[in-house]
Amino acid sequence: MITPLTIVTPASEREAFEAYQGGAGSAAYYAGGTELLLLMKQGVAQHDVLIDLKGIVSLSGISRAGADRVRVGSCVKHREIERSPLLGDLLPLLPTVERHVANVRVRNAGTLGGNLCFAEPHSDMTLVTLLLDGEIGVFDGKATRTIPAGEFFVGAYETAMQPGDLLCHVDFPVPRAGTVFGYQQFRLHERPSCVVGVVLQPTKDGKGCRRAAVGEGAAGLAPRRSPAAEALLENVSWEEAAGRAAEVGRVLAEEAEPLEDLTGSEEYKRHLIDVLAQRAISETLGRREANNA
Amino acid sequence: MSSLHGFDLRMQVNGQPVELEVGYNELLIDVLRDRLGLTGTKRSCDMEVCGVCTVLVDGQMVSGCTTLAWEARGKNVETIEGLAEGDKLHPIQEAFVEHNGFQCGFCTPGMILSTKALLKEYPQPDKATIQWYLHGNICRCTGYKKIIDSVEAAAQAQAQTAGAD
Ligand SMILES: Cc1cc2nc3c(=O)[nH]c(=O)nc-3n(C[C@H](O)[C@H](O)[C@H](O)COP(=O)(O)OP(=O)(O)OC[C@H]3O[C@@H](n4cnc5c(N)ncnc54)[C@H](O)[C@@H]3O)c2cc1C
Ligand code: FES
Ligand code: FES
Repeated sequence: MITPLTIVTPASEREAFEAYQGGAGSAAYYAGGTELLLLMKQGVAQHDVLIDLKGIVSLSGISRAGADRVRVGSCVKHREIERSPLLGDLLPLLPTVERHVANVRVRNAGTLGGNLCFAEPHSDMTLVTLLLDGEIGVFDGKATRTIPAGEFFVGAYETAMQPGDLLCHVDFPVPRAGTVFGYQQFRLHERPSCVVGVVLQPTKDGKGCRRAAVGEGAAGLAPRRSPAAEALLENVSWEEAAGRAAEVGRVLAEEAEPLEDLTGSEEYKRHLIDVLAQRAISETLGRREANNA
Repeated sequence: MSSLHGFDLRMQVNGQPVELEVGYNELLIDVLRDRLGLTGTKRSCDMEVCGVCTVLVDGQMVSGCTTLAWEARGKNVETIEGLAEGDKLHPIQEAFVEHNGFQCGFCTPGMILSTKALLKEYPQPDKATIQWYLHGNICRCTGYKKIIDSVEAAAQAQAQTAGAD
C-alpha cells in the first residue's frame, strides 16, 4: 500500500524545484507515475510529498525550436509522440518506436521525461534519444543547462542529473532530408530484452551515407552507441553500406556488455545484437529504396 | 474539504457526478471497487501489464491499479458497469456474447473497455491493429481468436449503426 502523502501542484519549474528542496529529502517529482507508483506500491520508495509536474505549461507540448530543432516537453506523454504529425514528418523514428512502447495504457499516462529520468535499462526511448543526439534541458534551480544525450545515460537507473534537477525538455536536431532509420527489437515481455537502432543521413548528392548513428540497448545496463560501427557506415555508397551489415553486427555485438538474466545468457544476447543490427541495416536501406521508388 | 493527506475528489463515474473525500495515496481501482462498490474492475498483476483493471478516463484507457484517484479530478471515468443501459447490453458486450469472446470472464471488463477505446480511435481496425492495440490485455482462457472475432463484429455493428444514422 502507498503510505499517506500530499500532492502539490507547482505552476512553474522554479516552484517545482522549491517544493523539492522544501521536501527535506522525502519529496519526489511525479509525472505519469507509471514507474514511481510501482515502486511506492511495493514499498521500495516512500515519499511524503509528490510534486505533480503535469500542470507546468512549459513542460508540455511538441513544437519547433528554431529552424533546425524540435522540442518535446518532459511531460509529453508517449501517445502524444506516437500521434504527433510534426514528429511523423521530421523525426519519424520517434513515433514509429513509440507504437511499441509498453501498452496503450502506459503510453496514455507515461511521459518522455519520466522515461529518461528513470533510465530503466530496458527503455526504448533512452536509446532513441541517444541515436537522435537529443539535447536534454535540465533546470537546476538557477539555470537550465543542456546535457547531450551522450553524457546523460550513466548506468542502470542512473543519469547525469543531480537530486532536485528537473528535466524540462528534450531538443532533437532535425536530420537532413532523406535520413532513414531502422529499429529492431526482441521482446519476450512487456519491456524489450534487446534493441538495436540505426540512423543513416545521406550525402548531399544522395548517393551514399554521410553520417551514421548505430546503437544497442536493453541488453546491458544503459544504451550505447558504437563509434566503430558508425565509422563503417560513414562516407560510403549505399551498396557499400549494405555490404558492411555483417561487420557492423559483429562490431556492435563485440563491444556490447550484455547481462545474463531470465531472458537469456550473455552469449545469446550478443548473438541477438548481431542479428538485430543486420536486420536494422536492411530495414534502413529498405526504407531508403521505398522513399525513392 | 482538503486536508494534509486527502482532498475532495469530484468526478463523473459512468455519467453520474460523484464527490468524496479521498487520500492522495489512494488508487483509482480502490476508490471504484471499495468506496463505490464497482467491482467489475479487477486487479491481477498490479503492475500495468495485464489490463484487467482497465478503465477509461475521459475516454482514454488507463491501468486503474497504478493510477492515483487524484488523476480523475474533474474527469469522466467509465467502468464496465456504465456500458449497458438497464437490461440492454452495449453493442460491444453483445458482440462478445455472440462470438464467445470470454470464458471465465475475468479479463472481459478490461477487454471490452479497451475495445471501446480502440473503436473510437480506429472505427474500422484490421486484425493487426486490433492485436497491436489490445496486446496489453491478457487473457488466459480464450486463446484470443474469439476475442478478435468479437472485436471485429463490434466494429461492424458500430459501422452499421453509424450508417443508419
Ligand atoms: C508495464 C510497462 C512496460 C513498459 N514498457 C516499456 C517499453 O517497452 N519501452 C520503454 O521505453 N519504456 C517502457 N516502459 C517505461 C515507461 O515508458 C515509463 O514507465 C514512463 O515513460 C515513465 O514516465 P512517467 O511519466 O510515468 O514517470 P514517473 O513514474 O512519474 O517518474 C519516473 C521517475 O522519474 C522522475 N521524474 C519524472 N519526471 C521528471 C522530470 N521532469 N524531472 C525530474 N525527474 C522526473 C520521478 O521522480 C521518478 O523517479 C514500461 C513501463 C511499464 C510499467
Ligand atoms: S492489474 Fe492493473 S494491469 Fe494488471
Ligand atoms: S476469459 Fe478468462 S482470462 Fe480471459
